[in-house]
Amino acid sequence: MKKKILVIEDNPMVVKSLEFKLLKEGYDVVTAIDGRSAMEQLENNHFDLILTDLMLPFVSGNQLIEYIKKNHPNIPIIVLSTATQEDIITNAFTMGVDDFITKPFSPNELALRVKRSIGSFKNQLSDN
Amino acid sequence: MQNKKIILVERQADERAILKTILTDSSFEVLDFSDSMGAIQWVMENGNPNLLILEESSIPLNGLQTMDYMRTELKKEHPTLIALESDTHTTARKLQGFLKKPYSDKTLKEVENFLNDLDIPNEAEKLPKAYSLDYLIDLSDGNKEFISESLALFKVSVSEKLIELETSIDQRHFEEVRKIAHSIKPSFDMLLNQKGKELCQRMEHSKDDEELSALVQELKLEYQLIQNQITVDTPIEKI
Repeated sequence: MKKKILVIEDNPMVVKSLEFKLLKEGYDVVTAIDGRSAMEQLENNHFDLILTDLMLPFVSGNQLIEYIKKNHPNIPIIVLSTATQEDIITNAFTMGVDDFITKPFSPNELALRVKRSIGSFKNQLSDN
Repeated sequence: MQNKKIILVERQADERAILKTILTDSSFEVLDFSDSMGAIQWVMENGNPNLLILEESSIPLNGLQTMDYMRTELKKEHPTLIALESDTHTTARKLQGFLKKPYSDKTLKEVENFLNDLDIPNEAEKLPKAYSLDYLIDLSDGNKEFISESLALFKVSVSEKLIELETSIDQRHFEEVRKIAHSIKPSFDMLLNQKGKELCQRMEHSKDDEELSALVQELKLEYQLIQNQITVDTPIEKI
């Protein structure tokens, strides 16, 4: 069965790129453009990984991570950041995120980090 | 022989009309603008004039900022005269040349002498490339549909955000300006447009609220530059 990834990001070009690359890598992808709709998605679906920006409309990155850690503690989180957000990234790690990827992401790096965070390398091989 | 083309930026309509008349009567072709953005836009879209006359206090970019923008961003080394107020001192200023207001027949002589002293290239320079598809090609292994849709997304989504930026500036919602800049920064980055990315970054981190308005205007120009270039290139056909 395909692993399902929730992408939380408000820039449509970044969303499109992530979606394109992740679908090509064999994942199911669901997108949310803000924290509120992400929370709705989390209540209605099972996800194997969350990729999220930290500066989103309506709900701050910290609030969102707190919510995920409290309600869905087993889902790994990769933060989508920009190179100038060192403090924010550090803070996110102390809150329990698993990894971060800099936007715009390197396609190969994305694939590797997603695979590592999901821990699904063997499963993907058997699925294929 | 073609008339020499002069771009004139002057805020005051009466002053502008006086200088335009003086220069036009002497066979110059004058394109006059009340603000510097109009002049930059013209250069981006039409190429090289023979001379720029920029009022020192033009808006939103002043004369020196406009000259600097043309040179560093558009890579245009146009001969440039800065029109100074009569009481402005010129020492310690890095000017290629200057005029003193008010404009008069003496101004015409100064313009002619300035141009005669220059070796002006006739060939139009090519605009520097405002964007690259390398990242999108790498990401998608050259998938034309993906690249085409990404460019369409850039056009629509950044245009909407630029309107939101201007609205937020008008309403003095400066934190919102910073958030929007953060949000659209990757769009410029993905087209490998360094200038747009840096402008977004400056907006995001600027502590000077009053600086934001000029940065938004610069970003709008950069966006327009990219769109113009995309239209000229019709890049999808060439992948």
